[in-house]
Amino acid sequence: MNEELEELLEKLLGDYSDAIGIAFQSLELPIASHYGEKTDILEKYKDIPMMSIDESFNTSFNFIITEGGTIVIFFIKNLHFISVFVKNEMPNKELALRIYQKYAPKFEQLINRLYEAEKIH
Amino acid sequence: MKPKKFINQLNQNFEEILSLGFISEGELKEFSNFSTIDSEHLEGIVMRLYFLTLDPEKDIKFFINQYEENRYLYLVKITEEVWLFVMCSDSNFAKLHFFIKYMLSDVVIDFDDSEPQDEEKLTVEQEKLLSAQRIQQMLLPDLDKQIPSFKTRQLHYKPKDIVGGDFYWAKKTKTHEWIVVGDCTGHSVEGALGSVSVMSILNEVFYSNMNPHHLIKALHESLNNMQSQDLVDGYGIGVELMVMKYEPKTKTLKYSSNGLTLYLIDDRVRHFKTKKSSFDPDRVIKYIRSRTIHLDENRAVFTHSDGIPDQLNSEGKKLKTAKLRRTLGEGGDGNSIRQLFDDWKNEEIQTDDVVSIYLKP
Repeated sequence: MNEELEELLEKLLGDYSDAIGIAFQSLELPIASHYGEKTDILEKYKDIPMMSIDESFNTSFNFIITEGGTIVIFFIKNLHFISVFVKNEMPNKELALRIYQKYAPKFEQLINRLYEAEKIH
Repeated sequence: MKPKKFINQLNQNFEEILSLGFISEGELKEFSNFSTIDSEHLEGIVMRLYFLTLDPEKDIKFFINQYEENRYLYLVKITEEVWLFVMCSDSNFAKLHFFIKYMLSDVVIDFDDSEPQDEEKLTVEQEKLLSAQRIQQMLLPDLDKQIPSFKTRQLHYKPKDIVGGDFYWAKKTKTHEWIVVGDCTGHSVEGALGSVSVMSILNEVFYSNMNPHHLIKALHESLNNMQSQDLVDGYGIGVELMVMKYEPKTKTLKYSSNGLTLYLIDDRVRHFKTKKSSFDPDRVIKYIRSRTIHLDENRAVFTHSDGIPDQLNSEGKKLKTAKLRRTLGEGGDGNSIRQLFDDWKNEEIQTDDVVSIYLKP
């Protein structure tokens, strides 16, 4: 299952222009995975996405723009998120939306299977 | 600039703003709410996100949170003490981003109640023009990094004023190198706002597998959406582009344009004119296509904005494209064209913004 997660992260990273690092982080599942460069930065910023979720769980993405790059956060079922480090300091919403629409269902399916495997439910 | 004036300007130009204001010294200032969201609830969201972004170790400049579908909360650090927040419905994200950046560049948001002096107002206007120049230059790409396969890269970029509507854009992907030369309507700040918007839209709509004409179509669609929202009375962005996509491995260049000319130079000069979209954009864009040419080290390409052939000399005559073709046909390159332009212009005022590029693998 972890291999499947790594594979999906790798695919997303390949599809995302200027992205160099990617991480899967979760508040519920005891699993975290990362791939590529600058994943230490993604780790450093991981508290912000989780605290920025609105209470009705409608958030689907964040952009955190810092000196040197943008951290794009995709929320998957809101308690799990994918963060991507993009070298560009310009937030590209259209690209983020395209990537979100393409990958969110795939990650959601995988998370559902991870839940079953972990027997959390 | 007074915060109220800034907020009014921003609000007048973006219908989709739902609420906006400043946070200064940890408190909301000039808070306006035009949405149906309860103001107290909204204040709570804004302040929660504001405190999240304050962590000095994280050095956050902007923070954009999708609050709900079609609701975006945008937090911008102006100084260490002052932040701007805007809640808006989904529209042209790039337009809002660059409008705010443009308005904020070097402008001091002054919470002091006293009236500014005339002298100060003038300085702000001058600073604004120079700031526009810095923003425009910041967006112009480094050609050494983006198009390394071209051993000869001769760029001639010279706005008529400090800033202008002509621009260039480049992007390197795993297999291709993209170069765009563009000519936006208008000069000075009006042109610069157009070119900055176009460059940001190019960054948004670009994806690596597209063909050059797809990029022109996508840009055109975005501009149509953007301008249907009446950005400012009488303001509109028109742009002519030459889009080139080069594949070093196969030495093929695909190109497409809505009004600029491509010159192919080897033992002769061929020029490929394209239909101008300025008079009937929808029709031209509908039928626009990409063409492919072979471009190896024995060939070069050249393209330019109207500013070069339209340059007037001391007798009021235009330089015209025939002289450019002749110069290229006699073994000239981009530098020769630049020299021709400078000689023709001599001491006269520059007629229009200028951008041209000569590329040889």
